[in-house]
Amino acid sequence: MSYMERVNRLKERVLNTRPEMDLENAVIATKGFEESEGEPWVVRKAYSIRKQCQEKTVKIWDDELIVGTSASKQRAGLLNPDTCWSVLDKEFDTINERAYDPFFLTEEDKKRFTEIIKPYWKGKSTYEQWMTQIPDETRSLRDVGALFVDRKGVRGWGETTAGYETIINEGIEGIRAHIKQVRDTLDIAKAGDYEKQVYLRALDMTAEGIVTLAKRYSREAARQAQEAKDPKRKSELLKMAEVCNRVPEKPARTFWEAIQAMYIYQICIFMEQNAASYNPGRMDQYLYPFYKADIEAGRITQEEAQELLDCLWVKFSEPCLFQDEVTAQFSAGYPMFQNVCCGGIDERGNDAVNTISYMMLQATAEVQLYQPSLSVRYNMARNPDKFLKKISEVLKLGLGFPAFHNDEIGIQMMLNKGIPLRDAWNWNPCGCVETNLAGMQRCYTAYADFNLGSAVEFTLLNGKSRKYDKLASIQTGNPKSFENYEAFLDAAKQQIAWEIRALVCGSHVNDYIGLQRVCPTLSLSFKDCIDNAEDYAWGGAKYNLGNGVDAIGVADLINSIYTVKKLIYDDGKVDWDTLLDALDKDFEGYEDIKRLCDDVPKYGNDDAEVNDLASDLFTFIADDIEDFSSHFGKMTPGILPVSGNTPFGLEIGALPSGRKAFTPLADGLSPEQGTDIEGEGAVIKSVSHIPHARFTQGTLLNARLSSGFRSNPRSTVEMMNFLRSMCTLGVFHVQFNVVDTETLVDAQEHPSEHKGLMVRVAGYTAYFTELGEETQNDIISRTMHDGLTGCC
Amino acid sequence: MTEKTGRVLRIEKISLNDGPGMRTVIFLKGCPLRCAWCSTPESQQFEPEVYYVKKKCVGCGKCVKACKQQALTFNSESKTVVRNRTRCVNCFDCVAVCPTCAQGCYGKDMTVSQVMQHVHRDEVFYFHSQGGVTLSGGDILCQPEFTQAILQECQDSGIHTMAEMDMYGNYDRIGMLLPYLDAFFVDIKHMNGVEHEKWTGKKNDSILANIRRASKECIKDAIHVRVPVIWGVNDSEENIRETIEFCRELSNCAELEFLPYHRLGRSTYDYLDREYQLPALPTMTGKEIRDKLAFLKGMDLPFPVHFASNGTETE
Repeated sequence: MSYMERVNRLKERVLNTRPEMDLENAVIATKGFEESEGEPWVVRKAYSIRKQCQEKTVKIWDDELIVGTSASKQRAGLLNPDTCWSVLDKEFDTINERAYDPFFLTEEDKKRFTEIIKPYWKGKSTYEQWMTQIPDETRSLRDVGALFVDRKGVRGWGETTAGYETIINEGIEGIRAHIKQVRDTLDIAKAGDYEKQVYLRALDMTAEGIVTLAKRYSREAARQAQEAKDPKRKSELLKMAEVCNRVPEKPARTFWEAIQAMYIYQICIFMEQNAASYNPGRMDQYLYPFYKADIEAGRITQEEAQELLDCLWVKFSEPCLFQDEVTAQFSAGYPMFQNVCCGGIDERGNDAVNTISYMMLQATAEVQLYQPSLSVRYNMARNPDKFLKKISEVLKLGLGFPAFHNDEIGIQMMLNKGIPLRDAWNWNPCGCVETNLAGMQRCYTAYADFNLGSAVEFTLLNGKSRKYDKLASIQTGNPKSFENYEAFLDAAKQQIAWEIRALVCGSHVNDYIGLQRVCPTLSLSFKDCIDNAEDYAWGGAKYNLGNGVDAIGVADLINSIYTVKKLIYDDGKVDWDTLLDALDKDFEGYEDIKRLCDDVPKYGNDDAEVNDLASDLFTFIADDIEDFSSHFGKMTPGILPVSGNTPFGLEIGALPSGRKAFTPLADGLSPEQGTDIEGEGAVIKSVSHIPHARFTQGTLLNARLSSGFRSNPRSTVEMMNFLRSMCTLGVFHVQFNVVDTETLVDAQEHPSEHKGLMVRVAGYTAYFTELGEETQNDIISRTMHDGLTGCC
Repeated sequence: MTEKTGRVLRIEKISLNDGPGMRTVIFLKGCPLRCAWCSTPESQQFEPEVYYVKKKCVGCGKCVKACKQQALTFNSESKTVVRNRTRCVNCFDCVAVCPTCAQGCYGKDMTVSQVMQHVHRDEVFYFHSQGGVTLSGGDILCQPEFTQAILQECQDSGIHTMAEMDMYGNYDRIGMLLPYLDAFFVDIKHMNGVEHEKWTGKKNDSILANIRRASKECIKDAIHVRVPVIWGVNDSEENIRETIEFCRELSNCAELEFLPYHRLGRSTYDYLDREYQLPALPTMTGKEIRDKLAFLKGMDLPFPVHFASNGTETE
């Protein structure tokens, strides 16, 4: 395709640009807060955003058709000082070199940080509040690696799907009219209306800022057009000037305008709060009408539309998530999690696949960058075979995309959250695999993680952490005192419940602090936030939910419990003293015990008894999480590890499953590394015994196929059949890495030769060479199935 | 009546290479032939056999101590356990004590219902792919009653059945299976009886006669003929042409498939302390086999001809 030359040049520039911290926005924002002192907090936030829009550096790079960056640099990490200035303070001297997600920090920025940012914000950020207010039981478990709860101290909201469709179709102009309409109904003599008036003023301020920024891009394009020598580029720049002058201020009229409107808004919400997972959602649904109209009017060819989409795909790969070094271990690879979705059904329950659905898959196949995260909603009853075939073909490219979602289970998850069917049909994947609803749903979809390996360890050590040699959890008794297996299982469940409880306590504190974490720019596209004059952070959205609580170490838990059942209680092959001693010594000198542990049937091989235990444990976990509520609604369970299985694993000793001490846990729903010997079929059969629809924030399954599978002439057709089988079984999600071990090992040794090598980590794709070594090893050690086949 | 038990080598799930759709392939142990290129030498002997994988061995010496026959010694130089196969009685004491599964056993006894448990687990894959069950070997004709019982159970559940058969020996065992088979594979290794005996250890007259007869008694288009093409053994134009003429006369031949030579089973010979029978021949690529058999083009045949892939290239 002729346009690929441009796309490849754009792509090369992104690949060759080193991620840098960029403090320009933070400096402007700080000045904004300073200038607006005395105003209400939300107005000050809005003022600081508008000021960034007015003053930040505006750049258009060569070859670009779609423009905009949140920062002044192309691959930049943004710091929101009001959220977490102190993280950078702590890592001031190490962030350039840290193992996970290093950022280059210039001397100039260091100076600006020390002189402007730090003095103003010291003691005021939400992260500092979190560190002070974290509840004792949560802190105690966090400190031994049984919980990971700091993520939301560092990041802003994210984990949401803005109402991009509103921005595109109504324009900021339309939204401002809506704001005015609501404001006209207010009377500040009436209690509560002053607050609303204040809030609407803040909304309008950010709305104005967005338009200002777009106009600045328009002027920059016009300026470059004047200087451009190449007539083709000149006319492109003039067109870009016209587009940015029009949108997002006014409703989009063309495909190009729709894409540009969407992207300007995207950089503004990221500027407002550095966070992962601002999900563009169902682009095929909201872009198709523009494409169709353009084609019918002869304004665009399919090839030109594809080029624009490809250019947008490159833009999605530019921003880099800034987070502290620990959080970076839990989600490594600068992951932005901008999840775009195609397929599924429409508001009447009919097939929603259209030309754009295929073009989105094509864009991912052509651009081959780590973002956006491309997801498909596959509805087996409604979507055509041709769509499934295209999905299978792209899967086989080995990009780790698209993430395959079983539509019917996604809909069930929405219903289970209490969202009625008329809206549930419009769900979209969010971040990794969470379920979301554009412009309507509010919660942290992946608030925090709890370590199921730790729960097993606490059960064995009566509440103690092996690594830290201290009591960190509740005491459920010395295992030797358990009368029978049921008593042991009950103790394990108590430990799990204690972890969940501690997370919920943390979540409530976080919700409380989060009331200050206002986000008027994001709220602009949530219709109900305007109607209620209430920020997203305060619960202004149509559907407010309790935060997402994620289980990590699924296979480790199941296998450990089952091994104890078999070896100690059923067969009496080992006694507690011997097993505990063997675990304490990490099986050194206890190779025979390790062999016995290894030989017990493992999760992932479709063993009936193990499957049954999996159902029991995860029904218990879903029940337990859903028994808690926050101010915003029922807490929501999920199974999405991101890369947290690695740092969690490094915190716990050997487990009865046969897992060695301080090694990664199993990721997501996957079997433990190397224990799934019966092939992918047995894996998804096993996985289907986890009650997926109960885990309403999604469940994640990673699979890896050998590159040899691709050469099988039947691989596409059988991949389709495999995915259909998965849907029939009620499994929610699967993603495939198609890459051979040799390539991965070689990439580890010669990273410079494999710069563009992408792997699916867990719910997202990253450049393999940018991952830390432990995560790399974890990926290499995932069992590779030769095709889908397995043996027993 | 006690349930029938058979000797199973392994069960492969979601196989894409042994019939239509996704299939469960049940490999049985025991084979009358000794093909020099055999890629599953562990399937030849009916009795269970002990094997040793050096790569997995940590040199702990537990197996050496456990061996009552003193068949095992530890070579400290190569850090390898050496087995004296004449002393070894396949008692598997070494397998039981090995902490890393470096010592293992090929072959286990399973009942029909144990096998069927595995089969039933994958029904959802058969449904979506129009797959089913394939019985393979070794040679399944070494265990005809067991095979028949499995096939019958499959038929009772409406599961599509196939088998791979050597077709050697007495026809009765083949006749008793045909009513339960939706289709089956037969191998033709060489048309020349002397050459056949030289490379497989057995003559081919009963094989060819059985194929002819089965082709008359089986259901429509049930026979799939496979020819493993081995460098310098059976790859002459003359032999291939004879094979084709033989197939042309069969009724119900659904296809003829040529399988290029590969060496994937080579390391298993080491595990079993056995010599690989062929010299160091290279793997045959898809292109090589198509070039070699280019003369087939333009032949007017009543069945399609296919070439399998070794996964050595993107095709």
